[in-house]
Amino acid sequence: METPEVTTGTGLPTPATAASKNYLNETKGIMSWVYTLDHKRIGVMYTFGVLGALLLGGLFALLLRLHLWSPEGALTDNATYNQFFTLHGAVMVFLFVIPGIPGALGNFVLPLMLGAKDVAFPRINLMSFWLWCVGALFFIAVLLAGGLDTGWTFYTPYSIQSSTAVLWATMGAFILGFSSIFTGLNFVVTVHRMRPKGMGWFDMPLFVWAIYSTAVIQLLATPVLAITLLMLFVEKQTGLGIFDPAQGGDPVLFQHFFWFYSHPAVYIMILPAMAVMSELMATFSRKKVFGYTLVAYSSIAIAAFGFLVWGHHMFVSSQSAWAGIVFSTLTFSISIPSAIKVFNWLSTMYKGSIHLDTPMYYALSFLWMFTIGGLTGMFLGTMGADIHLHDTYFVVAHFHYVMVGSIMFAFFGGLHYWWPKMFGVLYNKGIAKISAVLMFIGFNVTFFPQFIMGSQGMPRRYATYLPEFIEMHRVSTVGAMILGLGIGIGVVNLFYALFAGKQAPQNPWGGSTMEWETQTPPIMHNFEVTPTPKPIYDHSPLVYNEATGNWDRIEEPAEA
Amino acid sequence: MNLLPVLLTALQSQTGLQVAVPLDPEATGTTWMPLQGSTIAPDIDWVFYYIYWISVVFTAIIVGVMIFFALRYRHRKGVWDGEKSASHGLLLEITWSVIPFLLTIVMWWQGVDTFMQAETVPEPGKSMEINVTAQQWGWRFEHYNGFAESEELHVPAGEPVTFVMRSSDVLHSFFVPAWRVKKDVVPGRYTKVWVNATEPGQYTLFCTEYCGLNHSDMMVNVVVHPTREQLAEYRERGLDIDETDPNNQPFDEWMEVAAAEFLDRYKGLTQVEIGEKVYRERTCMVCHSVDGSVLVGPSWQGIWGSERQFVDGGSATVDENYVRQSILDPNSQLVEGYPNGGMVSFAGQLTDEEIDGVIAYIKDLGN
Repeated sequence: METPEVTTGTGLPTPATAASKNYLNETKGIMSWVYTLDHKRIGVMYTFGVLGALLLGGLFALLLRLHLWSPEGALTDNATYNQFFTLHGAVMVFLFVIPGIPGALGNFVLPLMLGAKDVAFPRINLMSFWLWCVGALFFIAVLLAGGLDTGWTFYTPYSIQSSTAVLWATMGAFILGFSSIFTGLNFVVTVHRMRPKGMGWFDMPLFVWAIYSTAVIQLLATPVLAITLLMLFVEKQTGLGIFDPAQGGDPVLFQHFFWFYSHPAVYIMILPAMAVMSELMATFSRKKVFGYTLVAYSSIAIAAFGFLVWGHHMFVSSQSAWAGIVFSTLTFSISIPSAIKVFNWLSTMYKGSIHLDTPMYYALSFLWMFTIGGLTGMFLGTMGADIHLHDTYFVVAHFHYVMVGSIMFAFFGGLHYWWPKMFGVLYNKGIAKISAVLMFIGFNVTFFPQFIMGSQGMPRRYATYLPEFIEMHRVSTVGAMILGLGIGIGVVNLFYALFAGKQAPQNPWGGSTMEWETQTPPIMHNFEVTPTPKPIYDHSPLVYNEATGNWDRIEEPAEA
Repeated sequence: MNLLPVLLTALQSQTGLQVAVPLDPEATGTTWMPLQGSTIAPDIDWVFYYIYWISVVFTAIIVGVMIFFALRYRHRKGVWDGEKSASHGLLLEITWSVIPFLLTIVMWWQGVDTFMQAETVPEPGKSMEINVTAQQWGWRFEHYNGFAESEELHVPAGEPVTFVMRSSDVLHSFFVPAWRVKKDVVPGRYTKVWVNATEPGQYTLFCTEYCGLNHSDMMVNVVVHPTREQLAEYRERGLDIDETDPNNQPFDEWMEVAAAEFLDRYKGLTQVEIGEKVYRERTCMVCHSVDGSVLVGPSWQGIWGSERQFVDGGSATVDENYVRQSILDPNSQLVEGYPNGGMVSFAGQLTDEEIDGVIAYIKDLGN
């Protein structure tokens, strides 16, 4: 090729594109969705599902914060408050944070990034989504069957004693575990077997690397959750005496089992957020992610070390101090790969050409809040400091900086990044940015005071509190309302675009990975012709076309 | 805004508890930490602030650089995108892996060191031992001389105190923020913490492991008694301290009076009054009302002589034997409407005199 040539032109916002066949309109009717084997449709269904869970969990969060408006409880009684915080945690963790990014964005994007037609096992993929729905139904059943008041952690022996719907909830979580395993299994096999010719491991987008690492953890750790919940189920039904000291069991054993899954689960949650971050930083800085190889390896390192640190949740649980020292040591070793990622994302911006589009608002928010979330994790991994901070609001603030400030923000960043690809529409960018800013402000106003409250001695899971904490609790409640408003505006804006959004071009952001090389929305089988892998994160062939709003790929002749 | 202090005072008088009210008004905490009320607190705070300043510096650098890059390298119209720059740099990457690594080694070691200090309980005989029983939703403290208390915890300043803790039901956790001391209280095993309290005054002991319905009410006032030297020092400094208040007297003086009162606690009381005292002090009131309202368990008002239907189909009339069995083996007769039990046995915890008192009290409430 001697002359520059536009190789892809299907992204033009013309009526012809609107009418073209794509995965959304190729088959019609509700059954075509219920039985679909298409990873994109499953991703879309997951997206709607997890957004619903987010709004439900968020509603509980707002009720919690309203109740804590006054020290003696402003809204309801202790019993109901205990249900609110349990359901908030359980719905958010099991129905939103764990399945969120892999189920919604991973399903949609991962095969496209590999130039594949679908995931390796489309039927298992569909099964995963419907199991998610069954699990969600169990949680709805919990609401109807008298609620749940054990905390999402189900600590024994209180969970054995509790008269609330513990059995429904554990079965729900058990089923959701299988949903998670199926997703993980699919991604592992897809990444191993379905990469296109010419794409080696280190030619894969970092999104794929991180989702792959996540999938490995899902496969290996989730069965332990299933075993744990099954044991709890049996214990509660038959009084076998595994965890209940009244029957000769050991309640601390439950904590070991629980965190053996639930700490790796933290990385099941954060790695996909890191996956999204790498993509956003590359695209909106128009550069290859700095230190690509190290970022890729750090995902694997995090996944591996993640299995060895569960005991840092248990420093004051009466676990042996020597075990605690080992867990503290391993915990610090996992902080290094996380720090590396932050520095590498930051360096990616260096001499880049930074486009402050909506997804980048979320990415920069992530960078800020993950830094705080990560550094405050140091306080808790340090044994001496953890004595004082354990089970206080400091911990609550820390993990919300990771779960919300990082993971939810990455989810929203990813949603705003791929929404045009998913639905072929552009949302209102001004409103999207306002919602991102509101979320950022609301989030920090909600959770930053909780660090101070916690280190001053405010315990978590308190339905009422000492009056000296009133000011910080009220600031926090006001922040939660702002955060709720921001999320509401963001979600409404996205959905409004489905009906009234402008036609999206094929590549509205200048993304260099393969999902941008197919039409928008993609056709049922993703690509007319399997694309050839390009050098990873090479943005130089992409040139913005003022007329169409598309980034056209210009193949330049090889330089001499 | 002027309303807030007024409101605060009103609320404080309701619960009476605060994280820390030292006798010495000059003993204060910082923005981040309550006052240092024990020998270990300064060490733990040193670790906290070491990590804190590292965090502040790193956050400032990362966010500062991020904002600088976002402005400096912001895309401008007409400028071609994608200036080529290094996509990796070995030296840089090694630097930012090694520096955090070295900083965390110090962090880790200081954390281990302070944790081991907190974990290493004084040898037997080298500290005052207090047996702690945690139970939904209250605490009971038994001192070396048999004196027991539930509504407050009294300890001396200036000498080590070891708490030997057990739980009668579910997990609880012993947390006094001003002491920087926390340890789970686990059913089926003993756990221990120790403290050498330095700052006389009143503090709050919190339960910090979620334990069900009234977890957030499971707080108790901790009184740290001043030593004679501290009292002399306060006098010298001209502090206005009410030395007639038993809480402001040295621990042994206070204990002498309290222990004597404790031994005679039922002297001159009627059985009904004994029962009422037990009801108040031994956590009965947490689950049973005496005004007819249903809490966790049935109200005692009007229960005497009533017919109880059991979950397993049997029934019984509330009489002396029924009440006694309900106290000693509560889950042997689960009443309909309360199928999960949840009450722990008080066998060995209440004397016959106290059980008789409770029976008399319930009988009295039924009339």
